[in-house]
Amino acid sequence: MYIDGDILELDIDMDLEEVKALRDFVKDRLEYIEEIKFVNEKEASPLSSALFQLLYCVKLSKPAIKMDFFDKPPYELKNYGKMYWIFHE
Amino acid sequence: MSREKLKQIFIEEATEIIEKLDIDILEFEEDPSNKSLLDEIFRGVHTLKGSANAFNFTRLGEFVHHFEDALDYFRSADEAPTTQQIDLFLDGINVIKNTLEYEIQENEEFPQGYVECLDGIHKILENITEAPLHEELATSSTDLAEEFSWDEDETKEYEIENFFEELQESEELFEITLKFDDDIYLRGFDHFLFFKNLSGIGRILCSYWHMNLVGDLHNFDVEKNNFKEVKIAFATKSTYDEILEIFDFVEEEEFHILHVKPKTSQKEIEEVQEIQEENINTTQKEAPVKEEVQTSNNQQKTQAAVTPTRSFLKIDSQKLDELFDSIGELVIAQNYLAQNQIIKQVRNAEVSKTIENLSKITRLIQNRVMSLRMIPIRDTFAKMKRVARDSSKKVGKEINLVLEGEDTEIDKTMVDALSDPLIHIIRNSIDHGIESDSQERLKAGKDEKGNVTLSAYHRGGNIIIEIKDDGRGINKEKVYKKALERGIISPEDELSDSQVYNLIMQPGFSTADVISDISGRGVGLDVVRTSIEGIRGKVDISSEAGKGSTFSIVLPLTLAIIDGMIVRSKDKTFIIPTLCIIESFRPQKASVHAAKGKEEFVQLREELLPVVRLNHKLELNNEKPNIWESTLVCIENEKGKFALLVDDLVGRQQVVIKSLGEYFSQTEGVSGGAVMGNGEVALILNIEELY
Repeated sequence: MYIDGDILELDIDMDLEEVKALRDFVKDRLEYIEEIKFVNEKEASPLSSALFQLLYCVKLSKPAIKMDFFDKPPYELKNYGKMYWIFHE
Repeated sequence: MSREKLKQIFIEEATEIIEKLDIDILEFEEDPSNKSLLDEIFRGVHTLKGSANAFNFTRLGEFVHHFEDALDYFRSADEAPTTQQIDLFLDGINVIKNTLEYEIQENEEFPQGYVECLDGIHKILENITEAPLHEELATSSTDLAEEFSWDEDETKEYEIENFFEELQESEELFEITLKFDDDIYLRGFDHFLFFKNLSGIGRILCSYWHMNLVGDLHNFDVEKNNFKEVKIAFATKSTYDEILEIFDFVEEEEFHILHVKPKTSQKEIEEVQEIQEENINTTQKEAPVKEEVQTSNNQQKTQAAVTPTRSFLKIDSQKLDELFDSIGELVIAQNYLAQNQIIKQVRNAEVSKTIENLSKITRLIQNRVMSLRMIPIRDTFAKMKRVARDSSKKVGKEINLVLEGEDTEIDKTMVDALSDPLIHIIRNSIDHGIESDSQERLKAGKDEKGNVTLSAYHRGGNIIIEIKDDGRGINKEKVYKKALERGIISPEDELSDSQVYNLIMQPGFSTADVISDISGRGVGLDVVRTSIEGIRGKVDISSEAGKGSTFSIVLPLTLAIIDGMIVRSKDKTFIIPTLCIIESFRPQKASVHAAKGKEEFVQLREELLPVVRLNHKLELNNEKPNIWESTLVCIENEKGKFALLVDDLVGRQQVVIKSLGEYFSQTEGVSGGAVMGNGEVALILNIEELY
């Protein structure tokens, strides 16, 4: 995970402990982040769904943040097919 | 397999079929339009016929052959059987039962009622002029939707069917739904862990993630799962069972696997129907098939989404008991680990998490194994319909039996032991409880028909089975007087209403002025009490004059685990079954009394309770602490209430019961043992022997 200007680049295969660290990292820097994207999505697969729920929480907190995986569904993963997000009840 | 072994299997199956026939015929009497139920009865008898002839049980074969013909007539006839014909069928079931026993015992005689019943069946058949008996099966194009409870209203259009195009050769389509609890991460699982495992046996085509509101970022709990549902379109060459294995360690309600079948042509449906009808005609012991069918208004476009066939396995119950014992050991070992002081001192998150995980998995396994022993009380209740029907006919009272809570699950061992007590109480309610004169009922503002309600439900960790009638109630004065006459109580005894009612369960007690055929011999209700206590339960009776009586059977959830209060006396741990505990208390000095300097009593509100010192009773030591400085547990046993003096109350806990073995089994005051979390052995107190 590193932040390049206002773009936060993440590894898609973060485990739960890393997601916890990401939450702490993001919540202090939310106002500076304009985009979040994955850097290794072509090679790796997600390890924890907690990552996506955290990112969804981030998106809710700051809808203007660009997240292609949420903004342009379906999000297609190398090994796990297409992911659709259902936000309504 | 040897012929003897096959014969044994037939006998077991035949017994099950006969029991079910009894229930099904009564249900059919209630709803004679239910032809599918009649079909089922027919199939049962048909199976009996085939097997009986295979084992040269000629009398049984002969009887069921004609019985089957009579049933077959009603399958195609417009008319429903009359009450007399239903009576004949029910008598026929008794004859089948007895004939089977005679055949097994190689008794050459005909059982009682065999000839008369067979004559009755012949008379039904003689009245049939042109019975379309065997043509019927071929011509009655059974509606499979009805046969398998396919309900058009329940069908849904799954979007998942759009993925059929993406299937590769030999692949099947499954829809997998994950509904994990919010602690899934803490249990060491993750949606993507299952994605990874699924990818090992197939291809995930697509997933739909239902997001719940996750709150604001600052309070967001990473370790709590907020995905309320994830649906997966999954393509695989693997079987349903192979997919199922992936979910071995999550709760059943946390996932669902649906095998989605492509659209089926009408011709294919007809072929399936033919095969299934053929199977129905040839064998009835196939495992039940659960299917979900999607139908549109146009029958030509019927779509079928079929879940896999569920297969059942018969297991020797002793093996299950052994498995349960092993799980008990696992629980003990796990508790020992969790409470081990050395491990507790290791302040490492990984260790804590692993132990917590182990605890959850152990509990999961324990619950699953426990559930293997649990069966719904439905069948036992259903058998009572016959009891109520026969009893009501015998005493000439019209009875309406209402069943409630039939899905309540109960330990298999208890089911076996419960049947006789239930029969007795129901007979007793009908014979003594319900008024003989319907005018008397009408005058009291009641229905002409007597009502007996049999219900089962859970309450406070116990199973309650209630038998309630709306009859005349128990005559308290009459019971009291009778008990005095019989010397069961003395005039000095002060009894509560409940204690008076419970007198009717004393051996040899009967208030019936006229002894009827079905009850009133004074043997029975005491046997009921003994049988229920034998499965660690108890019977409470309540009654209201003119309104009716209720017998409440309180049972533990299982016989293998006991809900106990852990107490200590002289540094030793004991377990008191919570079912017997009324309350615990520490008395005031003024409430403590002694008689002749020996017997001790304590005043608890209105009652004077004898005090039993546990350390003296079990001969642990001779110490005699002041009662007002000690903890007392108010306990009720067969003889009444008493206060048990202990050193300390530790807390309530479920424990796995261990037998003490033959040598210690006769130890007074103790009924079993249990291994506590710290490895210490605690004795389970036998309340009946303490006072």
